[in-house]
Amino acid sequence: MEFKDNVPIYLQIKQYLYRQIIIGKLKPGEKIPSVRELAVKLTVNVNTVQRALQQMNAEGILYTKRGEGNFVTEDTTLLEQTKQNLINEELGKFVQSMNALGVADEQISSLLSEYLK
Amino acid sequence: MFGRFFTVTLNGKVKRINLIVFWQIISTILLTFFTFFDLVHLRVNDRSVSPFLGGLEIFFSTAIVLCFLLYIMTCIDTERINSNESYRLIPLSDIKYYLGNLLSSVTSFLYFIVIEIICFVIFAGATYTLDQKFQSDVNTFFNRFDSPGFFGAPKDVRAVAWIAVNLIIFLILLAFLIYFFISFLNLSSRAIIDFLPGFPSKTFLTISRLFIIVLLCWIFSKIANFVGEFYQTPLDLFLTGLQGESLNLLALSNLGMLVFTLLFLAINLVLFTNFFEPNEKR
Amino acid sequence: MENVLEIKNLNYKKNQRTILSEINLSLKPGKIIALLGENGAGKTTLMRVIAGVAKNYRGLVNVSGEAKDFKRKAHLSFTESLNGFSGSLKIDQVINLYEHLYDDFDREQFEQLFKFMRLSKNQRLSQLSKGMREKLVIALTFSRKVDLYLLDEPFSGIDSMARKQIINSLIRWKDEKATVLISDHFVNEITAILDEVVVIKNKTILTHQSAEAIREKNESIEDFYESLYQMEEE
Repeated sequence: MEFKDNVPIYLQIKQYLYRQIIIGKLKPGEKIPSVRELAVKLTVNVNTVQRALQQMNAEGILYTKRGEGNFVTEDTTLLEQTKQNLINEELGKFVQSMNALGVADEQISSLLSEYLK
Repeated sequence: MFGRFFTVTLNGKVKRINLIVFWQIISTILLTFFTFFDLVHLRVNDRSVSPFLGGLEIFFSTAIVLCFLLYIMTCIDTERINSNESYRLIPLSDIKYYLGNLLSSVTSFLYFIVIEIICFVIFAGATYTLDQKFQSDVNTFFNRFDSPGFFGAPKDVRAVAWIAVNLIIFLILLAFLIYFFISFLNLSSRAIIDFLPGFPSKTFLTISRLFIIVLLCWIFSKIANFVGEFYQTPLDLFLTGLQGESLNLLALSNLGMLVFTLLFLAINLVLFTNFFEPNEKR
Repeated sequence: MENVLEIKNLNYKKNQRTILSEINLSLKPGKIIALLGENGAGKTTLMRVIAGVAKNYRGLVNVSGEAKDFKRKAHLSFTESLNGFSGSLKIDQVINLYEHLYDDFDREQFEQLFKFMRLSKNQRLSQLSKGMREKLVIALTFSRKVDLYLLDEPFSGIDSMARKQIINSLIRWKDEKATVLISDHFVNEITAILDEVVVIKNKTILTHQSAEAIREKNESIEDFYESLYQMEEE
């Protein structure tokens, strides 16, 4: 796993975990790897992983069982919302780069359906 | 920690001594064999001494030479450990480090002497049992002591014992003093080099260091001359002949040696704790 | 929480040349910190002063609350390339020496690290390649249970496999409360594992920042470090 060096790593770890959850690699209610396991897997600092997990706990997408570790939430609405957020984020980036190429917002959807054919 | 450091350094030193003694014995045996056994005619050479006594003599002379060599090697080795960064990183105060290193060197040297004596006794024992002539010579030598009045007046015996004890003390102090002086030269020249403005090259640095050492030796020879005006070393006393008055002076003179030795030790400890950095890597 | 390392007004001279001047630095427990600077900036000297082998400095150096040289040594583990040991020593002899000399040496952890680094015990010290030797040094350094680890340019001249193994072992075996200070003149190989960055330049510490704080400004640590060094040259 390669990280961008000019974006805070804890944000990138969060992104990585969101994706793992959305594509089903980590299922609702499933225990996620320990902090150190994640750090080793991603070759990042343990403290940084800790920070990412803390934020995800605060957001509710993860919950902690004392002494057992972190688990993925079983709250389907929250998971759905997270997925929606991620999709919106990607769409935002897409639109931005289209705009940068001089494509107006109105043209995007027709261009996209043309492309997808 | 002191004990651990002592054993680790002692082990290294003892290992080398074992190797030296091993080769000494091997070479003594080989040398004896080639000297006394005629390989051409396959018989023992006709010589005035037996091969056993000859071997004993060879062993004894190599022992004396090795004793000096090992002393010098031990001095150098001790200084090398003093500047060894791997060892200097262990949590041990500098004073304990210096003394621990010194103590393990002394112990290893004593170990060498004991080993040499044991080997000599074994060789001598073998010669005594196997060489008839040697046996009778030894027997007559020891029989002389049995005759009454051999030792002379008790007063003389005491004088001889007194001289012997002082001679041994003198030799031990001398060994320490010489080592401390070598150590002093090493420590002080390094401290001076580290203080002086930078050196352009390694060769220049080595030459400067040698120059400083020569300079220090010269200064100390002047000081020694000055001190010599009113201090007679035990060696002076031994050389001028020992009688009455000078016998009593002997102990005093040794005491003087002890003071000088301790003085150097104290100077070295100060230099070592405050100025002497271990060698940097690379 | 008490600082693992506390340096105040440190000055160090050798051969009448200032090598370190007015260094102030505090490190908290549990962090991985890079000490960055050009060759000759004083990184090694700073580490030697902290480790208690460089003498005659002025100022205060405290490791885990201990100021005396030899007491500091008990709280830190400094990589030096084992140059003090004879090259003819076998690796397991070196290990035994280490175990004997340090009571905080953890044999079990060492064996794990040793296996992880894929080292073998039969070789002699002088037969090791640069990468192997550095891995052995790291394994030995990390097998001591101390508060502060000082790694002096552990990645110089070794291949990327060995580098990855060293970085992984650092993540895997570093105690939560232990602090690691890694010096390097080249930064991008370790940026992902850093908590903080200390840049040393012109004999003193130029800046000490959190790695994530630098990235928050959309700047990579490499760019940040390079910009600090370019400022002068313009």
